[in-house]
Amino acid sequence: MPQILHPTGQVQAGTKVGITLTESSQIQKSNFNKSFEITSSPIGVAFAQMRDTKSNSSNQGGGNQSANNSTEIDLTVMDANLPAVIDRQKESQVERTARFEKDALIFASALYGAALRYTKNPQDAQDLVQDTYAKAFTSFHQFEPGTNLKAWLYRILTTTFINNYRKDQRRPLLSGGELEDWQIADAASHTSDLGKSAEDEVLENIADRDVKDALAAMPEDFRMAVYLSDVEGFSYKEIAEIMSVPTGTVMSRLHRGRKLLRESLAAYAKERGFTVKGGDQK
Amino acid sequence: MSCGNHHDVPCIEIRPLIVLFIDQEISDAHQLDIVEIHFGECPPCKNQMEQESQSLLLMRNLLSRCCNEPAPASLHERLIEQTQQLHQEMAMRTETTYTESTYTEITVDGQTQIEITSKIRREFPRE
Repeated sequence: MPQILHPTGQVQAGTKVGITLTESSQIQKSNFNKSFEITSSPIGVAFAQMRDTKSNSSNQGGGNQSANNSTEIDLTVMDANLPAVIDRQKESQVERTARFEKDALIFASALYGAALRYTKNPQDAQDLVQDTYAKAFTSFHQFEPGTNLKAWLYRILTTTFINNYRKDQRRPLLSGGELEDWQIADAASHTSDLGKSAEDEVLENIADRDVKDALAAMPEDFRMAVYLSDVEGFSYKEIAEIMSVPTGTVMSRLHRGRKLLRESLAAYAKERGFTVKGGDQK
Repeated sequence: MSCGNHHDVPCIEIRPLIVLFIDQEISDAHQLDIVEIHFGECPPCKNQMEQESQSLLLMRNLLSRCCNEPAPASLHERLIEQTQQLHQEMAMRTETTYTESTYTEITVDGQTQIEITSKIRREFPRE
């Protein structure tokens, strides 16, 4: 089991560095109670540099056979209090893995929720999340630290789903003038009544099962847009990146999706015998 | 349609912006001003916004309540396992680390001093 470096990329005193593949080890005890100088190697992987120096501690008598085996660690000290700036060029695989485990794996539950909505099936959802993390891990060096990791993971999830999991290959038909459509349709009139609409009251009583079914029955692109916005809270721009479509398309899908879902829930409610007061149902 | 009163920006131009306002997607400060000023002087549009906002909130709560299935614990375990496995594979490809240790006993005047040294050597694959 490899030892994972301190995830910030700082090497702290007492930290054992790196993966130890003891090939020529006679004794596996290492003394690292000193600081390391971190330098970049030609191919850009951070490593702790140790220099052979003339022994000056245990070899004062001179002529002892251990003279040339004594190694002193270079004491160029890193300030452990500096904020961690992740330099991907210098980051070792060990550090990168630690960063991945710390930063990326916490989104597993959230991604699973999205995967469930995408695949509509717990087994596929788990596989999809696992595939997503495999891809994310192997391309983690491409992720720019400090940018939106959650959106990045969702993008991989969504792309993976579209490429590998989509059972229903039929894409919903979307017309070209998506954007104007919903704007014009809604711009017609004010609704004048104050307070909660009758639809809202019905929605409060609807069963979880019905909501899930209504979501599942929606065209995939609408479902994704609504889920990403209204459950995950992504912005239009983030959803555009996740779904690899222009922002205008996101707006169209989202607003149509919401409308569709609302109508569909009202239909479920009617079926279940909830009465819609005021006849406000569209 | 208009509420009958005169506004600098007519209602018909504000209406499509309501949903953007609710979604906090009006990033242009000037445009946001226009919308907010309009809400200030046009009760029907403000009303419309509040109602849509409430409906959306309700929908969001409903969705969040329904869509919060926790991932099975086995999935988390598999992910950790997978990460370690991929890590091993990638670490093998990118660098090899050796630890070389020495163990030296020096006996001077009956006192034994033990010195242990350790040296890390890394080899990086060349192109």
